[in-house]
Amino acid sequence: MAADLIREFALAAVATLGFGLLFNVPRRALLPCCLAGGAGRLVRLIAVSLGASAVGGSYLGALAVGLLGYVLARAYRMPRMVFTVTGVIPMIPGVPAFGTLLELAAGNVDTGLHNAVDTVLIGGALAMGLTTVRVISRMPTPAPNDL
Amino acid sequence: MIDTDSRLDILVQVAQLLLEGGAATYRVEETLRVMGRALGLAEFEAVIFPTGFTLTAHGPQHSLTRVYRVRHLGVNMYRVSAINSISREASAGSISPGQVYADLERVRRDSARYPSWLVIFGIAISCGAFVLLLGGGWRELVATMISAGLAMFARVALRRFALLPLVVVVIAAFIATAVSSLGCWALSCPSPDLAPVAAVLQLVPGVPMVTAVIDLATGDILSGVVRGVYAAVIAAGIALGMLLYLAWGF
Repeated sequence: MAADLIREFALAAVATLGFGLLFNVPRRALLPCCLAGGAGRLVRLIAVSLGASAVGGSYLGALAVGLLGYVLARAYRMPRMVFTVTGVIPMIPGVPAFGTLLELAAGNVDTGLHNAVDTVLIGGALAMGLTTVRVISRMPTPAPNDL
Repeated sequence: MIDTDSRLDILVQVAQLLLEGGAATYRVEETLRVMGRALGLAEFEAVIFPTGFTLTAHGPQHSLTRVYRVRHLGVNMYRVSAINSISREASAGSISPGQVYADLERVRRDSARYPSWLVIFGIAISCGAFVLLLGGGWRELVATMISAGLAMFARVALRRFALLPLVVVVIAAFIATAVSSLGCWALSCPSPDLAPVAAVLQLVPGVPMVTAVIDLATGDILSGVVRGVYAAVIAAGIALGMLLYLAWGF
């Protein structure tokens, strides 16, 4: 189990790196971005192995990325989106999205729609997880330098 | 002291750079408010959309208005964070308006920070990590890294033709799918479906998708709809590019 967790974290961190380069993330923020990407999938894996659904796990993973982004943004004095948007990339529902395409193209509307709903719900859960942190942390003091 | 005209020019630059960098609408508005206050431009109104914006400064006799069209919906975290620090310094009063203008010009000029080969290499490695996360073995890893690298290379090479983003996405998705599927066939991969999935993940419009929801949640409904539809169009482009190969039934 511990080996699985380490593998998940390490691979997700590596997966985040290329997107950090593609998105032009400043060099000193690259490593923290990878940390956020790894942490998100780690939280999702733990949540799912404790019985959460893929959608619920994705929400919790994105919530973790959002919270980490809040802390990192303060520590590095950079906008939060640098860490959060890059950090949820490894959780993108690629397999159900591809399944939707294959099944619908083959004329299997039932399985196609099933995959489509999974894709939309997981994608929505990721965005909602980040937005939850965003909305909550914005409420108390809208200071001019709020990161 | 500088006049209202040049102060508005600075705000126009700020909004344009932030929107082209993919910043959420509330962030652009907040930054403009901070910068406006720092520049002594108290009375102004900004209407911000992902595809364009207007800025109006109200004076005692007449108002000044700028309307700008933003043509490029990109992602550039360097721009977003560089402008964040410029606005922080400006609001702390530690730099002059002239300095702000020079800093903004510098941000606009050196916005391509990483060399193309590094991005191509990085995307190949990232997509490789994805295929391992999805449960692939070394055969899938090889097929994914080669196809993802080639697709990213095509995206870089197509830049100078200034094609529509949608066209580039269709071409890149086709290359990623075709090369990874052929690679899986050549290497006789046990799970040949995983490689194309991982290779096209580099094209997924994750940033506009997340920003769309943030826009909707913070009350910028129109911006959220624009970004959401843009993400859906790009996703459809990926599907089309993949089907251009898969529909032949290989």
